[in-house]
Amino acid sequence: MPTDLFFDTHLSKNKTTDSLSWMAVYDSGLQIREIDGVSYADIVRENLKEFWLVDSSEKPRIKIDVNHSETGRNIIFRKRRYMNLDQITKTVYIVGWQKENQFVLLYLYPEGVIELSDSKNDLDLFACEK
Amino acid sequence: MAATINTRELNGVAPGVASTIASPTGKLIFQMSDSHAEDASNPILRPVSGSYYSYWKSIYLNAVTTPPTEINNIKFYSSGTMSWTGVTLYVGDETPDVANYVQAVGTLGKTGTEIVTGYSGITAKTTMNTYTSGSPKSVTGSIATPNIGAISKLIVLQLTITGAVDPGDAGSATLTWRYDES
Repeated sequence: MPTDLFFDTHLSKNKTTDSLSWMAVYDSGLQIREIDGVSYADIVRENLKEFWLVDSSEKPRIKIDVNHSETGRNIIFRKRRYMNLDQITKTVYIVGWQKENQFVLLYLYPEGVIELSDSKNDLDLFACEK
Repeated sequence: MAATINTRELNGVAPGVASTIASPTGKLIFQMSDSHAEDASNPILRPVSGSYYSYWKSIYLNAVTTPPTEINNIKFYSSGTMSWTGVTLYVGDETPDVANYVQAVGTLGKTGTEIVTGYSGITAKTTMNTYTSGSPKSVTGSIATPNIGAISKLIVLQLTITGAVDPGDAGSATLTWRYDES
């Protein structure tokens, strides 16, 4: 288990939408928030310092340190969408880092469930299929 | 902002006319004709013997607005529990390019042409129940900013109907896209 990726279990489930609320903090101090599925800006992956899950009162509750200072470590940030033929039904956020064959992925489900994965199969899912 | 994504169906003579499956109430209606209309015209018929086939459906994942960076890792699956008596939903094993779309053909109002026989580029088919959230079908395709339009290649769907089919509305089933957005 890497020492720079940690979380606790005090997330308040977002009950109003299927989206998590989150805040990204950058090296420059810039903060970007997405509250109840409403983005105020698009997250960028460069120079991301911290990723916080935000509770229903919009207070940061869970910190995910995505320190990228180590050479060659790439930040992973993905929204995995689930859409029936007519509409989006769920969004799962995937946060983590990868350095060569080392990686950790944190799956953040809208139900409030969090899964930590270091499965090679999960990482393979990020391979682009062009 | 997050990309706006929808499902589009191609109908008509190639290259086809793209129609959007409306949100949130749109449906993909299988009929014995090449039509996007969500109506009861040219309904599925019960064969006296052998099998009939619906006209096939060619659909793809479409970006109405561009993603922040990229959309990829596209999957397609069902609940795995579709159980219409006498009716089986198949998907073509291959996913043709949108540019290689083939119009659905058959005997209007009676039966469509079977996809392996009639759809150039599709050599085999699998029941949609095979593909579930835990074992989805991979669909080639991606799109990167600032582009919009077709993201995936074509998913081609078709019903096979036997004499065991019950009369009336067989009910609906849910098919799901899954994709990663960054």
